[in-house]
Amino acid sequence: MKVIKLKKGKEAIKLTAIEKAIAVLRKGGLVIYPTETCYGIGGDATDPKAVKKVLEFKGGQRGDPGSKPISIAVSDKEMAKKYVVINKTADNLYREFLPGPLTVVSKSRGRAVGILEADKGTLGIRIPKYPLVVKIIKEFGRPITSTSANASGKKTPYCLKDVLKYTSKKRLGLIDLFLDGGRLSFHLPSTVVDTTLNEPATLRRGEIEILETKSNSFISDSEEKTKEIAKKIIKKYSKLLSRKALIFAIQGELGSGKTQFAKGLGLFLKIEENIISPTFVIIREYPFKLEKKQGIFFHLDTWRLEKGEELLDLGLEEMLRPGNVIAIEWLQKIKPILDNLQAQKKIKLIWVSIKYLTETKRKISYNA
Amino acid sequence: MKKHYLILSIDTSCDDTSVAVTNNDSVLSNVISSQVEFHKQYGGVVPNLAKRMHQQLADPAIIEALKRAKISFDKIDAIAVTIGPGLAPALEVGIIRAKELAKRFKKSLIGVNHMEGHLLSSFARNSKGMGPFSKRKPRFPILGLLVSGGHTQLVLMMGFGKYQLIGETLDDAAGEAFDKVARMLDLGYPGGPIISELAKKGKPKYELPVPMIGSRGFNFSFSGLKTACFYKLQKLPKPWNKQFYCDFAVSFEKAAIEALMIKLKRAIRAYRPKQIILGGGVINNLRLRKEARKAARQFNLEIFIPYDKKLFTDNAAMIGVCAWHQAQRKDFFKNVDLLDRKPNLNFN
Repeated sequence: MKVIKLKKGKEAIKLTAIEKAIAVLRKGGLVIYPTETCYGIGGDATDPKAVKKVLEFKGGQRGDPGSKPISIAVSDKEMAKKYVVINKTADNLYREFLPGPLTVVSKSRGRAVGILEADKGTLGIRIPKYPLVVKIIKEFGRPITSTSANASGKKTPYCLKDVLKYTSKKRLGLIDLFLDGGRLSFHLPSTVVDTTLNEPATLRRGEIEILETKSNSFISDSEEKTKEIAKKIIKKYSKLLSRKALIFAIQGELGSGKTQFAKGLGLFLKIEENIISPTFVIIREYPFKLEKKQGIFFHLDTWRLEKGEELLDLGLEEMLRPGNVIAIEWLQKIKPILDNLQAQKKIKLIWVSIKYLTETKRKISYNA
Repeated sequence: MKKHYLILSIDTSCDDTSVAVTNNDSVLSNVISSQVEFHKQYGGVVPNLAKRMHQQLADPAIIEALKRAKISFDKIDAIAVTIGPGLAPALEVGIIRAKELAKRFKKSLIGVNHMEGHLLSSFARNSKGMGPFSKRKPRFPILGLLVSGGHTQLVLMMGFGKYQLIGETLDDAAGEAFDKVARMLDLGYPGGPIISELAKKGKPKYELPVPMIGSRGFNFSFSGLKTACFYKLQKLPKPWNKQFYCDFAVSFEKAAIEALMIKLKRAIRAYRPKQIILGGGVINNLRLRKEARKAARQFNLEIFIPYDKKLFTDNAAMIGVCAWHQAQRKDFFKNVDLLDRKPNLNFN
């Protein structure tokens, strides 16, 4: 492992460092580099061999149950766009916080090595607030891995000594170059935010705090209460049914009560049938009659679908007739489709998010 | 009625395209699209879209079913098709095909309730006429426990065509709870069978609530158990080792199956059936079969499961067997055009 000391102000050294780092990255090697949080370990994020070495260094195999995805560092938003789909939520965060200690998770375009992605096909992007590193990435022309330079479970490194002390010889052997920026001041690892949902969801809290968008919210402490809340929300929009289809896009973890919410919608629509989870059959439909007007309540669950587009094949567009009510669970996969439809169809989209507060308490927010 | 009544049956209720040929209640062939032998031949080019998959596989499956049964199409007496419950656009594919065949070749058409098919799957016999009921006679009332990815039901059978739904799930089906807990453990989909496999090597160390243990009636609920698993897993520090997965799997499995058994026994006490039948994909689970046998023994009842595992999960042979019983009571669709999908079809 070669060490280059980056002394402040010495441009010549910086230029050599950039050159050397790029040479290492090109041949699939690994570089440890400073950032505004801690030291990171970088390899070409599009080179499977380099990524394999990063995983070897981190230990705890990716692909094992419970293992974590790895983010990538890019030089700017332009580069990010080539690797992920940046939606409006993400775009706002880029503008407000990047470069900086924030990892923005978006839908991957599949151009980086697949194992870096989370299981649902998302990829975390970071733009370090460390000009030298950004320069390296820019000149290299491809993103590099962005993960702390310590083996799983070991101390987060803030200086060369940390790395040497807590890393085995075998692991150090995987590193070609160490860009030594001296002792970094202590900062928490970056905040990680998933932008593929209705509202930004913080996956790891760092120093940046992402406030939730303003929406109306309720607290539920029972299944009954969740149903009542659903009734209240649909009541507010029910007048629109004469000219629009209502779509409730329900986001929430397994077991948070999404189906209970759908049951509440069913109660308001005076559906007598028992509304049960649509996970297995994907779509359940219940005809209803409300103030002499007939409609169909479609209860959808995309959990088992490989691609959101399948819903179009299953007749999503026909469901969106004015007067119908559609509740969709696990909408991540079809959010782009819904965004498109919203623009052209007579539909009213209501985003509902259910969050665990405690085992029996949930926060239910909605915005339209 | 003819001595040998040949039915070609089609089931496209959800994921699988299945076609079978039955002779009375004997299964001559039972083609299921996801099964290896069939999948190898056609699977490679199949689109991953449920509806289109059914459209593409229906004809090859029909041809394959006739070939395996060594029956030519003109010998077929009736076409049977699942009309519900299931995924509406998928059901439609089978129904349209069945209607076309019935009209064009002037065959009788029988519309079958998929869950009645599962219920009667124990009455299926193999091509030599052997099955669970070949040496025993059905003695009514019979209590059926149907457990699958999409359903969890207790049905009382007073005779063929005479059913009473006495309990069902209020939220998730049992099989779905298996899949979702597997997901929490990052075991992939469908994780139900993986849970059952891991459970064999585990000890039930983790306490999980048995769902609906105190509730009245015969309904099931599995969403509470799902939430309890979610919280339990959050409290248990990672990394989890292999033994942990096994122990958690068996802890969950035990709670889920106990919930089924409590309601099964309660229904036995209330309705005094003479026999028990099991159906649905989750009866692949060993513990479920063992516990159900134990429960039956406790009340001195005979218990039956289908003779072949292919009859547990979704398949068309059970639709054919059910259709034969319907044919005996002249339950045909006289006006073929009126046959329509019923995605929410239930007993009663």
